[in-house]
Amino acid sequence: MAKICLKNVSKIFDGEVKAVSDFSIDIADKEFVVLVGPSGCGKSTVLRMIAGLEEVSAGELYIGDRLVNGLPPKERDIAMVFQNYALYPHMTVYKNMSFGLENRKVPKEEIDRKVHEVAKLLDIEDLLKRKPKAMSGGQRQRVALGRAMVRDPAVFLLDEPLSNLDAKLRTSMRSEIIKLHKRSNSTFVYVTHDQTEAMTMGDRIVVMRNGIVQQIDTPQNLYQYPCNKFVASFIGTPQMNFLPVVLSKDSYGYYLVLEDVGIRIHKPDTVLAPYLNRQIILGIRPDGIKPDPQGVIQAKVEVAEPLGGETYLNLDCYGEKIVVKVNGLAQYEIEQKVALTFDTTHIHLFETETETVICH
Amino acid sequence: MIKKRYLSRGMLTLIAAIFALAFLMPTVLTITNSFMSQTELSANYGAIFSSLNDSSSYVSERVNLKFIPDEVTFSQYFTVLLQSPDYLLKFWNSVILVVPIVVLQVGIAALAAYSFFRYQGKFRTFVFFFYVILMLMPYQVMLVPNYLVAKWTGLLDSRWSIILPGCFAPFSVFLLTKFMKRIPVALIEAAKLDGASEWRIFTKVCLPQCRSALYSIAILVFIDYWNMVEQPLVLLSDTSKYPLSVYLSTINAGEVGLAFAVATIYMIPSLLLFLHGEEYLVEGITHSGSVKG
Repeated sequence: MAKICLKNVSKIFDGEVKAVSDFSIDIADKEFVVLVGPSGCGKSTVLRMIAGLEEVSAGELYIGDRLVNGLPPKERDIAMVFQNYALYPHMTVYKNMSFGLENRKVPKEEIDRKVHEVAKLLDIEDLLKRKPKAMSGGQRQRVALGRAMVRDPAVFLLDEPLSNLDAKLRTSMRSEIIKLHKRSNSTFVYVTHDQTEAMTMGDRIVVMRNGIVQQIDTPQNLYQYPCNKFVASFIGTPQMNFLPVVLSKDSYGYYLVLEDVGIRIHKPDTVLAPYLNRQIILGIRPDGIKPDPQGVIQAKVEVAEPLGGETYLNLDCYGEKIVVKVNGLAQYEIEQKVALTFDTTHIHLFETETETVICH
Repeated sequence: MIKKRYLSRGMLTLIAAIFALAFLMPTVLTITNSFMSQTELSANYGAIFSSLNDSSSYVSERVNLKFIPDEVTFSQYFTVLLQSPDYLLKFWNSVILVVPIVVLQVGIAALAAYSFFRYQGKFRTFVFFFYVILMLMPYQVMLVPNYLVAKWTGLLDSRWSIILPGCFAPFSVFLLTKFMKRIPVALIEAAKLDGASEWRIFTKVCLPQCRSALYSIAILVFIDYWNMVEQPLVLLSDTSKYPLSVYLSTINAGEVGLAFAVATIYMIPSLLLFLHGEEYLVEGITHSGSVKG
């Protein structure tokens, strides 16, 4: 049993800097939870509190059924993979992997068996006699994973483990970690600032900002139903487009006014009524906007980013910058005028002041 | 326009070579002259030694600095090593004074530096500042208090009166603390998560990464105490306990050949230590050693 439970956990540094505020989550046994957010949002601090490397300033932290607030790291049955791998530079790969087991007085034969077993699994058997400086980034990353795996911990904590790797290696290591999670019986808590990693790896994602949890949900729900503008902008690449609009109503129903153009929407009256004739924010993802000669929304091409199969058009739409995903074969010139239509079934509306969602 | 170099590389090399030769000359002279016969040495350096007895004769004769012996002889070494047990005894005195100091000082400094590195208590900065102040004081300032403490504890005239104060050195602690601070915190945290006790973190993670600093401190302390003069003179009254460094100065004019041989033997331990750990020494002192995880 390795469920993790954080109840109103806070972290205050030096009595004044609040790094994490009132963080609560129940992480189920064998779940893969990803903490995501921009730099300084407190995600690593949460991970370090779970690891026991930072004291919990307030709240309760449970691993299994044990309250672990005051327990040292070695008594928490956890393993952690660090961003810079933190391999002992003076030890061989074998020694790096066996160190934790030696500390726990595991018999030598058992250590040898486990190290070789994990090394084989990670395809690092031929590196066992090497020292970290004689290895590439990807190999070091595997060793760091191996060091954690060899102990067969109840909880795996991973602190931006792929951020030092190149893009190609990152993708392959991503799937390695997913496979590792499926194989192991451990609960995974993974910290990253890369939303692609979060979306592809996590069973659930925790989006954080300034030490406060914004939303905890599945990747799909976060993408489709963001609770505020920050989550909507953070999840999805390229990010969601935001346009200031005014909510109006006529005999046919509600519509959004963008400059001199009206965009008809079909959302419940009870939700929209309080915002009638007020400025709100329209959110729409790049694939929800289509170039259409019949369209009434006008924009001008600023930059076209061809990616082969698709092209991202950076447009100026009534003074606002928006990105539209179009077919890769389509040709667009800089300064070219484009008529657009919005797929109103995929729009999100946000309050202007609080930036919380009005409806999806 | 390309700026013209003030001094060419060749010129700089020449100047450096002249300085190097000037600094090397006494060492080379000591080594080569230790293979000269007593007669040849008297002929070359008679002026100096006669001047010690009779100043009027000093001006009339010239000292002849001679690097290559007319005839190579090992007689001085034969006398020192096999016929004068006094020299070997003094050499041994040096060893039994210096080796415990080096071992204990490095050990104690490593422990003290580790506590400065790991613990962030209220008084840490104050204590460390105190260490730096102590480091700036020359040894001579401590000599009288050391004498008084040695007398009070009854250790005066015993080797412990030199060894014990030698075990504690702010400079070693300072150097090691600075070096340890370069160890990534993540490594210590990884060891904690690996279930290592504080002692195992110290011995298995921290110390192996400070090898170059430990080695350089050991060499510097060895050289410092191998050459000590004041401490034995003040704290030891029994001359049979004097180390070779003090004894060298008591060699009289008639034994100038022996003096060269003894000085050469005296240099060997420091030289061997330096040659063996030259790489570590440079790395340790410049703090350039990579301890990146």
